[in-house]
Formats: sequence, structure tokens, C-alpha cells
Amino acid sequence: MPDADKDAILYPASKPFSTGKLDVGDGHEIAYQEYGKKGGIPIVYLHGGPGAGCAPHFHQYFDPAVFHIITYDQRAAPLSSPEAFKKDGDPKHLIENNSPAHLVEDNEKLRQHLGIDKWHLFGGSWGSTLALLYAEKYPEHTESMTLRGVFMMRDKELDWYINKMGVFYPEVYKEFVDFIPEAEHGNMLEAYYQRLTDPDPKVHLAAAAAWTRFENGCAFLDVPPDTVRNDPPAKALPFALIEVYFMRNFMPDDSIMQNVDKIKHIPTHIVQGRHDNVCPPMSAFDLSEKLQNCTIEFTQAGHSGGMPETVKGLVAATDRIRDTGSPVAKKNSSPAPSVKPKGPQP
Amino acid sequence: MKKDLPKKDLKDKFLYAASKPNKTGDIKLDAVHTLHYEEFGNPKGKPIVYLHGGPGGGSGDHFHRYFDPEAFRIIIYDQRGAGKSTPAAEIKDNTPDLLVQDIETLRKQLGIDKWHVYGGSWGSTLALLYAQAHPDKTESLTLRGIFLMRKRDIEMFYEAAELMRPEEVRKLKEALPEAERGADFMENFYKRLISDDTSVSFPAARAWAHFEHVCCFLQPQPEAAKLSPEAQAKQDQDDLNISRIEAHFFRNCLFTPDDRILKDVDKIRHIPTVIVQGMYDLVCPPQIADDLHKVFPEAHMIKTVSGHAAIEPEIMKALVKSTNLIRDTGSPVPKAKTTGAKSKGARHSGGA
Repeated sequence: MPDADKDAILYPASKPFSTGKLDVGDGHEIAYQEYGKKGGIPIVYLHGGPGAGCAPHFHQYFDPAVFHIITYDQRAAPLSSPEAFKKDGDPKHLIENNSPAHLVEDNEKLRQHLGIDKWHLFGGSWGSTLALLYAEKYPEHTESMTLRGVFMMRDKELDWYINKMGVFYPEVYKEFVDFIPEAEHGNMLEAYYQRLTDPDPKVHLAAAAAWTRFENGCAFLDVPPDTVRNDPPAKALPFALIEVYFMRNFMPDDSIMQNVDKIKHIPTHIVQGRHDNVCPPMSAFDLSEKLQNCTIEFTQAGHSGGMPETVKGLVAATDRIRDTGSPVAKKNSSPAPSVKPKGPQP
Repeated sequence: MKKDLPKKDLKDKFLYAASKPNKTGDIKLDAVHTLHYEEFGNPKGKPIVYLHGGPGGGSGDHFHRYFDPEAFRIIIYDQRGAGKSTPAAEIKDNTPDLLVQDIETLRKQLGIDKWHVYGGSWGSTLALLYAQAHPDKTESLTLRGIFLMRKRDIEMFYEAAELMRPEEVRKLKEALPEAERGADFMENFYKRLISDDTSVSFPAARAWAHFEHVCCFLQPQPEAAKLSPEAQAKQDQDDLNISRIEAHFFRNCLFTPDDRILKDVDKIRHIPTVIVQGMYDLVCPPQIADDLHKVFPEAHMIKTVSGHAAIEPEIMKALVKSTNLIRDTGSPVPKAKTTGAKSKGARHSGGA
């Protein structure tokens, strides 16, 4: 990844002014950090996965002089690992009392705990799903949404992820499929789920590595198979297991689109990678059409929130929140500039 | 309104300079069809034939520019119903096997013993079919955006477009009356495209050709400029040629067995072959090229960060590099790679 490109666009790194753990019940607690300006414009970062946890740079999408920036690891994501899991390492603790509905309530508990009345939501991929679910349940506490790589849990999105996006990444897709014996190929989700919940670390860690490698291999525009990122087990297991468990147990689900009227007034800006195979543009497009105060921006990028064009679009959106109170872009503004082709002449 | 800035044509950066044909001709193929061809470059050079896409896509003005004109005898022709071949958009007596036969007719007419074969998209399908029918006449294959015309390949394009280019899929469907936009909308396009009434066929063709065009590129494409009445008439005809002939082939001419090209691959595995494949090719997703490469590991695969079009910058570079290799060594396959190992260096090279 061109980290240098990304770093040049983001705000400088800073230290949190407060960190804490909030007991959300059911044996779960969530670890959170507060950055930027105490009493500033509150904005909460909802990470992806589910189960991916926060990366150290997530607070850097926001001007620290103005925003009260809240980042946290969702239930059972790495920094919020349940005690039971830490004791015996059995992966099933990561999915006990864990569901989209739990995560929505956790977000609400955190808001109340921090004494915030209304906040801005910022999230990509699963983070966009959670933002939408939360906003539909608590529209009165949602000031705006800044979304990237929209995912709405629908049948088509799930089918694309598991069965179809691999046609653009045949090499990584082959690894993903070959990891499972042929007899089980009819239901890849179930096959991965069975292995991810196996108490034997040899089994569940290998499955977590394979699943995570597949998604990492599909999330960027220019990553050859031999340089696909392999995440460490502590990151890969919650990421893969919670994602697979949610897909298997709570999807497909059409409720976000069914309830979209509840949030149609909320100012929203969507930054969508034109070549996002993990969460294809269809969903961002469908959503943008149902919202009345929404702008959508296609970037020359894949799924990852760290691709330069996407980072630019996201930072510009939070700057608009800072300057105008809303991330919505001026209508009909031209799409983000495209990456110029480079290279020598023949 | 945005001011139109003069746009630098990347073709001028990556391709050879344009030249005039040194010979053109027409061949009467049968009672219905006449084939138009043009020769560029050096009449004594290495013969190479360009198989255009679609089917029905016809030849572009820049097609001869992928080849060094001093080294190659460049043969560009229009397949049945396409470009300057007549009658335009005719689907009677128009099938894959007849198109293969036409290539042989052309070769004999030009007095060429053996030639290099070059083609992208449908042109890659036709090149593979021709090579399998006439391996002794095929010196090498330079292929781009592999398409095997399996039922699955055709479905894949539409499925991918629906998720990746939803706004374009909608525009496409809006060319049909609302009642015709359901699951059978492709069939409804077909019915309109084969209509003799151009007030029915032209709008359908325009929508289909535009849809395919925008799906061919990684970068957003500028809105088409307003055309003069003459230019619009030509554009309408070109749009109909490609849309109607594609619809006809994909509906009426699928192979038995469906994966005939893969089944017959052993006939051509000795032929030096290069595959240039865009990693984000929506029209022919890279899975198709990988399926071919799996049974044809001797082929040299170059993956580029690009979409489908032959004029995608990285694809132009890779193709010209390949024809330069034919010029210099007689084969498009780099020497170090003749063992069939997949090139890892080239797949994401911004340079090279």
C-alpha cells in the first residue's frame, strides 16, 4: 500500500485525550478512545469487518482542532476481546451474544456513556452497515453519515461476495476455494463457519487466515497474489469468524432498504470505489437514490479505505462537516480526479 | 458547461504513427457476403492479421498502429456484417465457423503461407478457433481480453455490470419499454435489434453499444460529442452492426460443447501465445483468461491494471511490447518465459 500517499492526505497522528472500557453486558466490553477537541463536534468511527477493529490511523480522517473523535473496537473485535476468550481461546466466545442488533445497542450505550446528544457517523464497509442500522434505529441521535464502500446485507451482495467477486481475482479465489474439500463447495460459508468455530487452533486459525487473505486479495486495485497481505492470527480470527457468523446467521436481510425512509432526511455523503469488488457500487447507488440529502462520489479505487482517492474524498467530507455541519457535497460537483496512467513510452 | 479542453490522445503516446493502407480489396465470399480488407506496413514484412472484436465490431482507424510498419505486413479486415464488409449488420450465413473459413479465404487470396494472428475480446475467440482449425497456418497468437463464448462468460459480464456499473445497467434497460425490462430483457433487445425497422433497431443498438463501451474502460469516459448528421448515421450503423451480430452469436451460435475452445486446446499448445488481460475487465473478467491458461500453461500471461478496451493505456503498452517481440524474435513470448511459467513481474508493472 502506498502509505506515504495516504499519510500526506490524512491529518497528523495524535494521542487520545481519553481511553476507556465500557461494560455493555452479556460478558462483553468495548474499548474506546477519544481524540481531538473535548467538547468539539462529536463524530464516531465505525470500523469494518465486523470484527476488524481499529487501525491506529482512524482518528486521522478528522481535523483534531475541531472534532471530538471517538474510535472504538466493536464487541469481540481485537481490543474488545471478551474475557472468556482471553482465558481459553475458544473462538465461540467471540460470537456469543454477538449480532448486528447488539452492535447497534453498543453504539447507543457508548453515546450515552460519553454524554453526547447527537453525533456524526463515519464508517466504511461493515462500518457503513452499522451506521445505517444505527441511524434507522436512532435517527434523532444521528447528525450525518459519511459512508464508504456501502454494504447493506442483501442477498445479491452476499452472493457476489462468496460466489462471484472471485472472477476478478482468480488466483486468490482459487486459494479460497481450494482450502475447502470439494464435497463442501456447495456451501462455502458453512464450510468456513464450521472450521472457524472448531476449538482446535490449528483448524480455526488456518480457516481465519484463508478467509482473511481472500478479502485482502480482493480489496485493492493493484495487489498481485504474491503480495496479498496476511493478517496476524489475533486480527484474522475475529475478523473472519464474526464476519462469517454474521453472514451465515443474520443475512441476507433487506431491512436497511425497507426502513430507509426513517433516515432519508439525514445529510449523507458516500465515497464509493468505482472498482470496489468487495462492496460493489450497486449498493451505494441504490442507497443514494433513496436518500433525499445525499451526494455520492465515485473514486478510482477498490474497496480499501486506505486508497489515496478514497482517503481524499473522505477527508474532504469531514472538512465539510467542520465547515458547514454537513458532509454533503455541492451537487453536480465533478467526480474525484482520476489516477493518471503513468509509465514509459514504447 | 465545462469547457472542452483539447485531450491528449494516449494512442499517440503508446502506438505507432498512423499510416495509409497500401492496398485495399474486397472478396466475394458467397451469394450474400463480401469481405473488405486493407493492408498496411511493409508488403514484404512478417504477415500479421488483426481479428476485430464484437463480433460485428469492425475495424478501427488505429488498428494498424499496434505494429511496426517497417517490419510487418499488416492485414486488417472486417468480418461478415461489420465495418466496410457488406451487407452491413447481416446475420444470415454469419456464424463462427464461417468467420474461421473467411480467414482462410483471405489468407489464400493474399498469397500468404503462414501468418501471425492477433485479436482481442471476440477477436481472441476467433483467433483461438482459427488456430485450432488451422494450426499449421498460425505462426503465433497475440490475444487480449480473453473470451471463450461460453454461456457462463456472457452471463458473467451482465452480472458484474449490474453490481459494478448499476447506473449504466439502468440506462441500458431504459432503452426498452418498462414492460420489457424484466428477466427476459436480453431477449427483448434481440427482438428489437433484428427488426428491419431502424426506428426500432437503432435506439436499441445505440443503448447496447454505449453500455458496452463504458464498461470497457477503467477510467470514466467523456460524454460523446455531438455528431454531424453524416457521422451520426455512420455511428448508428456501426452500433447496429455490433449489437445485432453479438446478440445473434450469443443467442444462436453457442458452441457444442459449450467449452469447445478449452476442449480443443491441445491442438494449439505448441503455438507461441501471449495473453494480455486487464485485471478489472468487466466485459471479459480475468477468470476466463485463467480458465484458458490453466489448460494452456505454455501461454505467456500478462495482467495489467486496466479494463477491457484495447486502448486502455497499460494494454496498449503490453500489446505493442508483444508485437515488437514478434518483430525481433518471431514470437510474442519473452525468451526467459518460454517454459510456461506465469510472469509475475509483468502483472502489475506500471512500467516495463
